[in-house]
Parts: sequence; structure tokens; C-alpha cells
Amino acid sequence: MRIHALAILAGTCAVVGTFIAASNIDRHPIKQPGSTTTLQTAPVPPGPPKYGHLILQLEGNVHGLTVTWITPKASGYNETKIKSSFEVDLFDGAGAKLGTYPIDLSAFDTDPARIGKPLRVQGCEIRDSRIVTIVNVPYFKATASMRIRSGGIVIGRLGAAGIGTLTEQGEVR
Amino acid sequence: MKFTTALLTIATLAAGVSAQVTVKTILNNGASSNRYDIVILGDGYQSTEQTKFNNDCAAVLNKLFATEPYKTFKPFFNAHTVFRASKDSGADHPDKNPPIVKDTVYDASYNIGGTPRCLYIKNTSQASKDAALAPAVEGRIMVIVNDSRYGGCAGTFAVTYNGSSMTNVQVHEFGHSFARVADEYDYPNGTYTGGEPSQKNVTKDPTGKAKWPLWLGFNGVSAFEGAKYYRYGLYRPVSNCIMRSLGRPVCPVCGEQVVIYSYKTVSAIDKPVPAATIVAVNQGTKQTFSFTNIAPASGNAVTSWKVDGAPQSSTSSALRVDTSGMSYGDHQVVAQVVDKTAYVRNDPANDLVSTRTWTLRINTPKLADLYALWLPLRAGVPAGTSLQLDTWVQNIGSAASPTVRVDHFLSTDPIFTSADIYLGGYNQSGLNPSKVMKTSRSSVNIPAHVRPGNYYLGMVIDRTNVVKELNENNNVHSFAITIKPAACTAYLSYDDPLNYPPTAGAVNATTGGVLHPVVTARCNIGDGYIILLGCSGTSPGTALPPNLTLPLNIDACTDVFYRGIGSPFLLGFLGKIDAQGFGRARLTVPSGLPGVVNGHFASVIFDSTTGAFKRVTNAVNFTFK
Repeated sequence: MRIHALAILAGTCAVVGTFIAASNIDRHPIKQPGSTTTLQTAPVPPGPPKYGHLILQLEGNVHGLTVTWITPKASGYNETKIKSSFEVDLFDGAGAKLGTYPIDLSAFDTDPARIGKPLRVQGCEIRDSRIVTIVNVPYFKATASMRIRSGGIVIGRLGAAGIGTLTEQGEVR
Repeated sequence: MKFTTALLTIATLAAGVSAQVTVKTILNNGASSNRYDIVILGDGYQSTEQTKFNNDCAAVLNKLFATEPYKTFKPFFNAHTVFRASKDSGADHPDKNPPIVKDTVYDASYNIGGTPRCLYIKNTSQASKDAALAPAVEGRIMVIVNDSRYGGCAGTFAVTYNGSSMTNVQVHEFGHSFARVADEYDYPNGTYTGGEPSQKNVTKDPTGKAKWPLWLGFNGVSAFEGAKYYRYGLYRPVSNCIMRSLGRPVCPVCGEQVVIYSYKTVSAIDKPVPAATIVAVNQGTKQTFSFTNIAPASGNAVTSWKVDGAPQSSTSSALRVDTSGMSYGDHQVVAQVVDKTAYVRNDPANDLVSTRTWTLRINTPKLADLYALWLPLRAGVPAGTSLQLDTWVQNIGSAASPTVRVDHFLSTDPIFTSADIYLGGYNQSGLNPSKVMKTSRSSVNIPAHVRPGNYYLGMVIDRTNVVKELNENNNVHSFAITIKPAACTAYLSYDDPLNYPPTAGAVNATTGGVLHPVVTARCNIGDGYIILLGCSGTSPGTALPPNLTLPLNIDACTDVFYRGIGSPFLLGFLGKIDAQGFGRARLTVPSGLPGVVNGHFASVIFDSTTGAFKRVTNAVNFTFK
């Protein structure tokens, strides 16, 4: 009976109407990146260092400069945009460079041929091959040595002992 | 002149000079870490002349900051005085007969270099040490010498006498020392034959274009012959500037250098908040960055901000950054102020561009980080067959992960959504953050109704985002795969989101639902089909002439179901195989219907003209409860 009914049914299906379109499905992304997380406050950094920057006094000439005096200062280092081929490098105890800072010698006579000769005066401008100048560098507790360069040529060095001694001498309060 | 801050008296251990040093700050516009700190020393002042020194310093500063552009940029400067008394009053006059010799702390002398009016100090070492006693010093130092004979000179130190022209001489000498500009007077030489001078305010070019082209025609700027000690062959920008004659204004070209050198030491971005350059916050924090803009208002400075290189809308001196959408780790926040002052037309080194960069560090929490990877298949796979997948999951985070779902999808693009063809998945048990790869092998069925073509087969870890991870963007991995046509037979499968296997479907009686059975019969295009329901299993099935067996036991369910075909709840259960080889149906079950049905669907393909049976499909499970 049922098989017969099925056969009759099938025979009536010569024409079939329209078919259902595919259902509508929202395409929602599965994952949303960048979700948020609230964590505890970051660790409080240690207090400010005792000094903010050092004033180095350099003396000599373009072939050799010596750090003759160091004056530590409480105020922070003031970065300069002045460029110079003369620079001071600061290193930590492991020899890693902490930073490089320009030495502005534009007011001096940097012609090596003039070393030892009298200063020159044009109008009211003085150019002396004998260099006495000061340069600011940041204070790093880790600074263990300094190197003074003219381009790639080292023209002065100062080790940890010298830095300590000069810094103590220079700190006048 | 406003005299501020405390008087500091210092006892120095240096030998050979007066023991008492007095340091005063007489102009305080802000922290020395962002100001040009002028230091004024005195030489040839006896201890009883300290008040005179103080008055001279005040007069010099008053004159300097009454002179443009120093006046406009006064907030960029601090000023300190350092007084160390000399034994004698005055300076050396070696060119007098007999010579006058004074015992002073910095050994000031006239006739330096044989130029009678060149007044300079010879003990620059002691002067530098004393300058360093000020709170800060930039390396160029003013010196006032207590002597009434006219004179001055400039190198590192800008030196002036303290007679009637003291203030004008100091502004002139400071122009050399601070702004690096040349003298513009033209004596005592004749014709210049040397190279192009380095200073910005003198040139060999008779048009002036070599040095100040942007100033030509403005404020009297042209090219006037006679400069830097030569009557001919060198040119100056204006007829008369303070670098030529005392009492004259600072000319535009020299003034430009004053502003540029001010900006070489001072940033318009002052008092940045936070003060630290590295700012660590938790994700979701709204962090404000700000500063005080000290660029003169007359310069119409332009402020802009960038976060990770992307310009921000703020043009004020504050920016609020919402870190909610930012990834863990370091980001860069940059503030920039560009001074558009009329004092500067040529700024080749961009000195008037002040920049402050903060590193915004989004703290990285201890979280898992699940990473998806698998070996790609290279061969095409026919629809309606199964394939073996080898998937890899790693935890590259910093915390263990819980059990997590891994799902497989087939999509026409590499972005996988719940609407894509679902291929099932598995539960990945918890993983330690050991970065050890956990491999799993799965066998998945490609539904017969998948159209042939090029697809992406993707694995998606934690698609519902149950596990909080360090990186939510590495949970998906996919490769390209070609799906070949199904075999030339007839299939019945479900085409519904997240339904797997494709041969089983269920509708919740409480909520109701929709299922989409699909007949796939690519070799029967245009033939009729009917999908029937039975509740009494698939075996032994129902024999159909001439020699087919429908894998469905026809029963009372079948009769009830058949009568409903064509109603809104049973659409497409009777129809024709379309041009792509599919017959698609839609079963809609309203919510709240009573009863439980566990049954099967199966379909018969028949000749749409004669009604002769041609094929039968497999059965698929149907559950309603």
C-alpha cells in the first residue's frame, strides 16, 4: 500500500514549483582580536638619582683633551641639537656605551697647525688653539669611563677612579 | 629685572683665588633641563664691589631682553650670576706705559692678540670652573670686567667692560658667542680674497642669495658691501646691524640665528606629562599625555600628535590615548610643535621643530597564547568524501591554557565565520606554556553538497574566545584546497551553520529551529526528488522498483510528514534537481511544539516525467526533542 502510494505520488511530481532559496545567515566573525585585560599597577620606579647631569671641564687641544673637573648638578640633562665632530662617549663597567654627547669647539681654533701658537684675534673675535671648555652630559650611576673623540680618533679618556675623584672634588655645596 | 631664588654662598677649596663665591639666579623661567642657562661672571670686582657687579649684571640682562628677538624668546632663558671677588679692581692694560697689571680672579686684560680694545680673560680654566657653580650652564658664558676703558671680545666667553657702552657691547659679543654670527664692520682691511665665510651673516656673494635668499627684499635686507673687517669683497645683509655698530637692532639674518640657537638648546615642549619617557599602563587605560607649549604666541606654533605613526586629531597640548584596542608591548606617542615665527625663514636643520616621544608600554599579563599550525594537503578532495587532518597547537604564552575547542571550516576566503562550511572539530586538552607542539589527527567529512571549487580549509582555536590570550590573532591557520565534484550518485546532507557531521541534524523543541536538507545528485539534473521522514529506522528500508532500496522504513511518521510537504514548514521537500545538481529543502520547526522524534530523512530521485525511480540517497539522522 505504502509503496503504491509512493509511486502515485512520484507520478504527480512531473512539474515542481519553485525552490527555496538558501537561508539567510549572518556572517559574524568568530574571533575579535584586541580584547582587554585589567592588571595590577606597574611597579613603582626607583626614586630620582642624586644628580641629573654632569658638567665636564675639558682642557687641552684638538690632539688631546683632558677632563680636568667634573661638577655634578641636580637638574636634568638638557639635550642639545648642536652637532660636532668632537664627542664624549660614556661607558658602563662592562664597556657598553651609555651615550654620546657633542663637544662644541666652534669658538676655538681647531687647526692642528696652530697648536702652541698665540691665539688669533680678528676684530673682536678670539680663536685660541688652547681649549678650555665645558660640556654637559647626563648623569648615569653606571658611568665607569669616558672617551673623548675627534671623529674616529680618541683624543682623551677617563676611567672610573678619575670620574669618582673629580666628581667628589667638583661637588661644592 | 626680577631677582629671584635664594642666595647661595659657597666656600671653595680652590687655591690661589678668593675663597668666597656667591651664586644667584636672577632670571628663572623654568627647569634648566629645558632652558638656555646664561651665566654671568665678574672679573676685577673687589669684595666691596659686589653690589656694583649685581647692578651691572642686571643692566646687561635688561638690555639683552629688551632687544629682539631675545625679548620674544626670553622665556627660553634662565640667568645666573657667579661672583668671586678679585684682589684688585680693574683689568690689565699691558699696552699702557708703564703697563697696568691687576691681580684678578680670571686675569682679564686688554690688548689681547695685539688688539687694544680686545678685552678678554686669560684664566679661562678658573672661569669655566666658576661658571659650573651655577645651577646649569650651556658653555657660552658672559663676563663683565670692572674697568672703564672701552673694550670687549668674544670666544667661549662674551666679555665686556662695564663703562657706558657695556650693555651694547655685551649684546654684540653675545651675538658672536651665542648665535655664532660675524662682525659686520669693514675695517681695517681692503679687499677680501679668501673662501666663503662660515658665518650666516656674511658672504662673498654680491647678491646675498648664497646666504640669505629668503630674506632679500624684506626689512631692508639686501647685500651691502663691507663686512668682517674687509671694505670690499664681503657683503652683509643690512646697512647697519648691531654686529656692525653698537646700539643698532639685531638684523633679521642675525636674529634668525639667535632664534635657531635658542631652539638648539630649548624645546617648545616644556614640562611634559608624564615626565618619564616610558609610560607603563594596563590595557584599557585611558592615558593622557600633555605638555606646556612655550613657543612664543606670536609664532603661531602648530602642534600635532602621532600614535604609532598615525596622525591624531588633537592640535592642543594634550592627547588622551585609549589603550583598549592596543596590543601588548611598546607603542610610540609623539608630540610635535613647529614654531612658525616670522624671525626665521630658513631652518635647514629643523631646529624649530620640537619633538617629544613617549614609549607607551602596555603591560603584558601572564596569559596563554595558543598558536595554530598544520600540515597542508596538496591534493584535491572530492565532495562527499573524508580526509585526514593533522593539526598542531602550541601554547607560546606565559600561562597554562585550559581545555579549548579547535574547529575546522571550509571557506571561499581565509576569514572563517560561523556561516562557513563547518567540518567539526575536537577538544584540545590544557597545554603548559612550554611551546611544545601538540599534534592531533582528525578525519573529517566534506559534505556532498559542497560546490566544486577552490576553498580555504581552516583550523580555528577557541572560536568563541573563551580563553584570554596574549595574542588573539594567531588562533587561525589555513591552507588552500580544491574541492572536486562529488561522485555521480545521490546524497542527502544538512547544509546548516556549525552542524556536523552533515548527516545528522537536530531541532530543539523549546526554541524551534530550521534545518536545510540538501539532495546532491549532479548526474540527475532536472529529475525530481522527494525527501521523506521515517521514525522506525533505516533497515531493512523500503524496496523501490526496479531494484532500489530506500534506506528508510516507511511508517506512520512518513504519512504525517508527507501530508505536510508544501506547507510553510516543509518547503522544498518535493522538487527538481537544479542545474548545479542540488535539491534544497527547508524544515522549519516552530518553538514550543510538544513531542520527541528520533527519525531519519532519505530521498528518492525519480524521472520527473514518468515518475520512474532512478536513485536513492543515504539516510540522515533527525532529532526533535
